[in-house]
Amino acid sequence: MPLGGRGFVTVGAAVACCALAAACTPEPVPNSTPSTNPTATTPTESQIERQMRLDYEAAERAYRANMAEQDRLYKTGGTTKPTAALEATATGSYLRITLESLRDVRRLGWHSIGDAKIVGIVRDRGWKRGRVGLTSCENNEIVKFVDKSGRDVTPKGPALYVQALTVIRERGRWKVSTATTRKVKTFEGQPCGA
Amino acid sequence: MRRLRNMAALGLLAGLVIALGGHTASAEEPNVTCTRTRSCTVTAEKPAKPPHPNADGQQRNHNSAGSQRAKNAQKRFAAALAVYDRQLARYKRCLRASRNAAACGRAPESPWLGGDSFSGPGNRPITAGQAAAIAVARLQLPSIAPGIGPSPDLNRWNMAAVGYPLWLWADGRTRVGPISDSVGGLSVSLDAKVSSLTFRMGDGHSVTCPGVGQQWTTTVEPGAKSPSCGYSYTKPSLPNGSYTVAAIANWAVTWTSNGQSGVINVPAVDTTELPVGELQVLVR
Repeated sequence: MPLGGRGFVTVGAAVACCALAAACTPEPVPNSTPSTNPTATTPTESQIERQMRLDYEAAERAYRANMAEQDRLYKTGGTTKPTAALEATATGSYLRITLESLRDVRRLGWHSIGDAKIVGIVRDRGWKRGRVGLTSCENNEIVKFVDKSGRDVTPKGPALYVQALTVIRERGRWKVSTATTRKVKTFEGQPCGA
Repeated sequence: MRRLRNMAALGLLAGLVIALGGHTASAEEPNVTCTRTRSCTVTAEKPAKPPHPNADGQQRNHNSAGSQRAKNAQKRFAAALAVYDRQLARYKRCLRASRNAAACGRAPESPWLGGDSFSGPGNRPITAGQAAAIAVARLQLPSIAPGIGPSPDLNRWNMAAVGYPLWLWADGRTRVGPISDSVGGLSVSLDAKVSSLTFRMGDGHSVTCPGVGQQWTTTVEPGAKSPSCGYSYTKPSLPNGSYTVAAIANWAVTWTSNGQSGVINVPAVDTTELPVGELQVLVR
C-alpha cells in the first residue's frame, strides 16, 4: 500500500477514533437549538451502512468474476480482444494491463493450467460512493503455463501477490480499476492472509 | 443513544472516506501491477480529484507529516538503490567474466518502492538522470527464457543432435513500454527493448546475436540454419547430463525526462537445460 495511503488511513482511523471518543462523552444540547433532521437531507446511519455493505459486496463480486474470467481466458490460450465478461468487470489500467498480458499469452501460443486462488479479501482501503478499496491475497503459484508442445514455460518469480484494488462503479457496473501489486513470500501477517 | 450511534457511525464513515481520499491522492505515484504471467507494469495515473484542504489545519499537518515521510522514503530508497546498483554492477561483472552465466544467479531485484512518495515540501529536487535511474529500477524487466528450436521434445530421443543447426531466439516479451512514470515531480518516459541476446551454450561457447532472433517453427525446412541467430553443437552432453543454456537479454531502456534523454542497459538472464546427443546412421 502506498505510504501516503497509510498515512491517510492513520488520519482516517484517528478521526474515527476521535469521533467515537466524542460519542462516549455526550455534550448537553440546549433545547433551544433548532433541531434539524439529518435524515431529511442525508442518509441515515443504517442506510449508509447498508450502502457500504452492498457496494463492498458488489465490488468483491466484480473482482471474483474478473478473476474467474481471467482463469478461463488464460486456460484457453489468451485473447486479443476484451471479452464482454472482462469489460463488464474491469476498466482503466487494470483492464489494459490484463489484456496486454492475455495478448502476450496468445502471441506466444501458451495456455495456463490451474486457477489462481483468492486466499482472502479485506475491506480495508476505504469507501465512498461509487468507489471502494479492497486488499486481496492472490496465490498464483498454482498457475502454470505451457507452450504448444506442452513444455512448462511458467515464468520464474514470486507468485504470491497482495493486491491493493480500487473498484469503481461505471455505468451501473462495478469494475476493478487499478491494482497495486506487492509480491510477498508468504501471506502470513498480511491483512488478507488466511 | 441514537445520537451516540450516529456520531460513531459518522466518525467511522469519515475515517473510511479519508482513507480512500488518501488512496486517491497517492495514486499520483506510479503503481506496479503484476499479472499471472508474473510480468509487471508500472503505471502512473493522475488522481481523479486533488485532495481538499480543510479548515481545521488537518491538511497542513498532513503536509508536514507527509513531507517528513517523503524524506524518510527518499532516504530509504536512496540506500536501497545504492545496494541495487552495487548488486547490478557485480552481476554484470560476473556475466562478463563467467563462462557459465547460470553461476551468476538471477539478476538483482530492483528496490521495491511501494507507494512511497518522493514529493513534498522542502524536498531537494532531483535531476532528470536520477529520476530516470529510479524509474528504471522500478521497472521490473522480465528475464527471457532461451528459445531453442527444434525442441528436443519433438523427436523420439528427446534430445538435440550434434551438428544439427539449432535456432535461437528470445522466448518471451522483448519490449516493455513505452510507459510514463513520475519521480519526485519529474515525468519520465521509458521504453525498454531487448537490443541483443547472448547465449551461453553450456559447452564453453557463446553466441551473441543482434535483435531477438527468429523463432523456429514446424514450417522450417529440416536442417535449415537460422537467418539471424543459431548454433550447432560439436560435442554431446549425453550421457553426462544436459547443457545449461543461458540467455542473457540485454535490455536497453531509453529514458526521456525534462528535455534530456539517455539509455540505461540492464541485463536479464534465464536458463534452460538442453540434452545434446549424437545420432549415428548405419550405412550398409
